[in-house]
Amino acid sequence: MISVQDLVKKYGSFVAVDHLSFEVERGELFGLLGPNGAGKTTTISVLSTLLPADGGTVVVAGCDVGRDPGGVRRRIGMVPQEIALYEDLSARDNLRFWGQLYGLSGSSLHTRVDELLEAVELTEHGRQRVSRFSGGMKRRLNLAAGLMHGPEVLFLDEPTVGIDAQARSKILDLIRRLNDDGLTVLYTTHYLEEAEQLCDRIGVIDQGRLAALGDKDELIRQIGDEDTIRFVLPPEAFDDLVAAAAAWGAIGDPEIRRGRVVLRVVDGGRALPQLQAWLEARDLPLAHLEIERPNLENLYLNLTGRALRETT
Amino acid sequence: MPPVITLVRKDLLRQVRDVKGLLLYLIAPLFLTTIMGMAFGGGSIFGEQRISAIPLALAGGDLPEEMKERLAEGLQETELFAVTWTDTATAGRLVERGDAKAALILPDRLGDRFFTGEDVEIGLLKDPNSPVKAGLVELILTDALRQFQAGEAAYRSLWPEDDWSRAGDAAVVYEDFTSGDPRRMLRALRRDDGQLREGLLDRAERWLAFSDAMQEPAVTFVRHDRQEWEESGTAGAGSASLYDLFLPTFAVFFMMWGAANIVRELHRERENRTLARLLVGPVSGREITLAKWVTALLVGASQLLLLLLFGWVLFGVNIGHAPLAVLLVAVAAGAAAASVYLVLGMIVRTEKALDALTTVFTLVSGMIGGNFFPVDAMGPTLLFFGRATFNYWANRAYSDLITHGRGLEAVVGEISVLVAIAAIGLTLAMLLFSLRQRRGVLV
Repeated sequence: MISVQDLVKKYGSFVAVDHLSFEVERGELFGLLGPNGAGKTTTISVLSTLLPADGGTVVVAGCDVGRDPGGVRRRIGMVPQEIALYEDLSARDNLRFWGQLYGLSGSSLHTRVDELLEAVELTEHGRQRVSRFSGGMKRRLNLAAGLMHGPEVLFLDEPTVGIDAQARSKILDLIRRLNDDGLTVLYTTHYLEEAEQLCDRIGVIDQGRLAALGDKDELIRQIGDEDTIRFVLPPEAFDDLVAAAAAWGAIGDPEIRRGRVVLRVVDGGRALPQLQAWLEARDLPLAHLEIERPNLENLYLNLTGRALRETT
Repeated sequence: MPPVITLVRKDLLRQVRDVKGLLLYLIAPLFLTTIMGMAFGGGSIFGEQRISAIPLALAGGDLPEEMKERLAEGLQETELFAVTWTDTATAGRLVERGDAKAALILPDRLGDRFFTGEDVEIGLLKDPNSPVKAGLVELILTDALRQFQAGEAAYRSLWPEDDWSRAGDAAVVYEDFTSGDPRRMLRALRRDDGQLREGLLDRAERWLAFSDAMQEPAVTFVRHDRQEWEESGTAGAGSASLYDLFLPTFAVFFMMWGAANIVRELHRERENRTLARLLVGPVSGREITLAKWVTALLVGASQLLLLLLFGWVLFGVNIGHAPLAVLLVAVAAGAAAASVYLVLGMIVRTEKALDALTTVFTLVSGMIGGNFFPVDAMGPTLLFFGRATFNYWANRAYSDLITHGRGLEAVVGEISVLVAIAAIGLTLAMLLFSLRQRRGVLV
C-alpha cells in the first residue's frame, strides 16, 4: 500500500531524510519511531504530497506522489501533529466542512458526521465550539476530520502529543479499531510504549535514516535475546560469583556498575533460582534485585548510542 | 459543491462567528461613521439641520416686545442662528462662558435714532474660543447692515424730501405703528386733512418701487456642476456636503483594513496547520487563493456598501444618482483590494510581518490615494503617485458619482482600472502561492 524507496529530502544543505526505504502492506499498522527531529514528520509530509521529495520514489495506494499527487490526496487521510481544526467553528461544522471538501453532501454527509462524532465520543459536544474543547477532545476530533472521506491510508503524525493517559488510551483504542476494520495506518511517534502496544511493524528512524525495521520481536532479537539481572553483592564474594555464573547460562563475565552486579544471562527465569540458592549457601542477602527483559529502549540505545527519552 | 464555494462558505461562516473581527471591521467603522455624521451635522434621524445653528444673544435696546419677537424670528428663519433675548450683562456672561458665540448689543431708542437720523451704534461681542462661528456672525450681520445702508443711501439720494428727521408728523405715525396700536395710527389719519395720508401713500409707493428694484439681481452666479447634473437629467438630488465627500473615502479606507484581515487569515491557517490539511486534500493552491480572494472581495465590498447605506439611511448622505454604478465601484474596489492584499500576503512569511506591512501600506495608500482629502484637491505631484494606488481609482469614481453627480458612463474608466488591478493581482498571488507551495514554504 505504501512503498518508499531511497527517499531523500533536504532543507538547504541539511539532509532531513537520507535514503529512507520501507514498505507498508495493505491493512497494516506501521509505526515510525524516533525522537523529535529524526525526520518522521518530514517523511510523512512527503508521503502525503505536502513536500516535494529531492530523491527516491514514493508510491501510496498505487499512485506516485510526484506524478499523481491528486490521486494520492484523494486516497489518504491526514492527521497532523497540530490541532488542524477551525476553533471558532463547532465540531459538527468542522466535520461538515472537511466532508464537503471531499464531495460529500446531503444525507451521506450528515450520516458520516454523526458516525464519526459517535466514534470519537463527541456526539453530545457536536454543536460546541472547538475552542471550548479539552486537549483530548480536540485530538479526537482532529482524528475524525482525517477520516471524513473514508481514506484507504491514514497518516497519523504523533496524534497523542500533549494529552493525558486516559485521552491517549481512547485514541489508541480508536486507531486499533480502525486498523481492525482494514484501514492501513502509518503512525509516527516518539513514545516507545505506543509503538510497542499498537504497531504490527516498526521502523526506527534516526537522523533521517532507517536504523531498524521489523516487528517488535524481530527488532528485539537484533539486540540479542538476553535478560539482565542486577543486584547488590558484597565485593569479597564477587570472584566466587564470576566462577559460578557460567553454570547458570551467563553471557560473558558479570560486571560491577554503580555498586551493583550486572549479570547477562540467556534466560533470566532459570538463572534467578540458581542465583538465590548460591546466595543462601553463603548466607548472603539478595538486595536491590532487578531483572530486565530486552525492549525497544535497549534497541534504540544499541542502535543510536542514546536513550530515546533523552532525545525527546 | 465546488471546493472554492465550500472554502468561501467556511470563511464567511468564520467571519460571522468572529466577534472580535466583527467589532473591529464592522461595528467600529459604523460607530465612527455615526460620529462623523453627527460631527458634520447631517442626519435624517438626528434632525434635518445640516449645519448647527450658531447661538446668538441679543441684548439692550427698548424695542417693543413685538419687534423683539419679529427680529428673533427673522434671524432664526435663516437657520443660521439660535437667538436668545437678554440684558446686556447676561449677554456678556453668555459669550464669556461660550454659551453664545456672539452677542449683539442694541442701543436704546433704536427706532427713533434711525428715523431721526441720529447715529446708531450696535455693539458686537465675540467668543474668542469660537473664531469661526463668531466670525460668521460678524460677516453675516456686516453684510446685512451694508445692504441696508446701501439701500438707505440710494433712497435718500433719490428722494431727499422723504427725510424722516424733517417730518414730525410721520414720526408720530411711526411710533403708533411700532407700538402695535393701529387704532391710534388710524385716528391720526382720520384727523388728517389729506396731506399726511397723501404723503404717506407717496412714500409707500416709492418704498415699494425701490424694494422691487433691490430684488432684481444685477450679478448672478452660475454653478457649472449643477448645470451638468441638469444636462444629464440627474438634477434634484441636492448638493454635496462635507460628509458626502468624506464618507465614501472613509468607507474605502475601512474596506482596505477589512480585506487585509481576510488575507491575514491565510497566514493564520498556515500557522494553525489547517492550510497544510487543505493542501493534502482535494483542493489546489489556485483554488485556495481564489477562495480567499472571493471572501475578501465579498467582505470588503459588503462593508463598503453597508457604510454607504448606513450613512444614507441615518444621515441622508448623498450617494449620487446611479446606484448600479455605486455597487459596481464597490465590487471592483473590493476585488482590487483583495488582489493587492493577497499579493502582500504572499510576499511575507508570517502573520506578524503581514500585519506590519499592511498597516504601513494601508496608511500610505490612504494618504496618497485620496482617503483623507478629496481627490479633486490633489496637486499634480500627489496625483502622480496617487494614480499608482488602487484606492485612488475607487475614491475618484465615488467623487465622480457623488460630488459631481455623474452616471455609470463617467466611471467606466475607473472601474476598468480597478478590474485590471484585480486581475493582475490575483494572477500574481496565485503564482506566488504555487511557487511557495513548491518550495514547501507554506507548511
